[in-house]
Amino acid sequence: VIEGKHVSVHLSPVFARGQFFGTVSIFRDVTQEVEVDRMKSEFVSTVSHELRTPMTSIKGFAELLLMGAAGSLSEPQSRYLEVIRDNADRMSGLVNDLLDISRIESGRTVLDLQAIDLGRLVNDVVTSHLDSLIRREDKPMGLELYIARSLPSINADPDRITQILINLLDNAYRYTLAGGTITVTVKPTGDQVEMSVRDSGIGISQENLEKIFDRFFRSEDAVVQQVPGTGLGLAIVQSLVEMHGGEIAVSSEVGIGSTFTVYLPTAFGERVKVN
Amino acid sequence: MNSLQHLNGDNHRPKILVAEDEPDIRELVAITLSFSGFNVVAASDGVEAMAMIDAHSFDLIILDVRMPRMTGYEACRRLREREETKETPIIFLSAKGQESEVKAGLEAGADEYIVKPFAPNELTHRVRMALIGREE
Repeated sequence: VIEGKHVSVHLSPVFARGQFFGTVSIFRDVTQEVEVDRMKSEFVSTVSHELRTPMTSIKGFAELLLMGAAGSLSEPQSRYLEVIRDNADRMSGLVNDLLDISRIESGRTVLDLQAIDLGRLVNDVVTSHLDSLIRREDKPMGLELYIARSLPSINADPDRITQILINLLDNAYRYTLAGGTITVTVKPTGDQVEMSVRDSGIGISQENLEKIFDRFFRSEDAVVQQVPGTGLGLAIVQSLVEMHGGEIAVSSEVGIGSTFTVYLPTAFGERVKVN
Repeated sequence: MNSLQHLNGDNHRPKILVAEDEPDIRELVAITLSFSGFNVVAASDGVEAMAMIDAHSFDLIILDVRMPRMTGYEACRRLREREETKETPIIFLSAKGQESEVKAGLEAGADEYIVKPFAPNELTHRVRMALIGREE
């Protein structure tokens, strides 16, 4: 920042016939870009909060009716109300995703880092989350869970790791037909811990693999289009993984399935851990 | 008060005050809790809530965070300073659900913080938990 203006500076050396000639410095006034960025995230945040109020009423009154608070319901009445409720939930999901991405992009997301046992967290989250998915969607799915016995702890924010895992599990479940299998593995690799979610689902084409982490990207595939989604989930996952100093990789084959692997660095204070 | 009145159902039902400026959500909370067997009184902002608390005693108080005239935070702070409401369970309702916001709400002296939109079941559950928590 120079005299109240945001300036971007780019320096590059100039060589001529192998000799250093000097430096080219480019100064660019980006004050307006910074301001537009700030306004954009403020706008998203305000709109999101304003949307939550009407959504509270829509979801709440639909649920009240479903609870029988205004008398008993016929079968179609219940079904229509469930549609209203499920779509209100979907909209809150969208609002949460928008808020998340805008917070991450403006650097307002702060991690609450602590030494955590990834194996235990994965064990808790996977079982309960997949159970609730299967119960809600009424689509059976096999689960295989492999957690290495002696895992070093990782330095991470447990809420964010849970968010990453739930996102990957949701995708695996949604894009896999009934009776498929989801395999979750946690194991150490070098100075990292690897967490992977593999499904036996519809897979991702080579062309789309390059785009799946882009914001709002969704495949044109008919199966994908049928599944509600914002195209923000994986963009959020990738940002959160990178904030942890980790990496995410994907491999997939159409018709066979996809594997998402997250690598997270182990905790620095590992030796302090009492076994 | 005679003993018959004590046996009257209404006196056994926990009495809850709801302060919420959005009429629809105020009604939603009131109906949900009445349906679950609580005795509910509603106020449309913090000032009105304080006036009601002056006149009656409540077993639990639900405050919307963002209200005109007096915010839920301010009302909570004042309630915690008063002898008769120092220990009363307080639940915040808010459209802001970031961890830092939830933390700030709990630090302001609330027992629970519920993010909108909420499921009626969840509201009832949290109210029960807060009531049990204070009894122990």
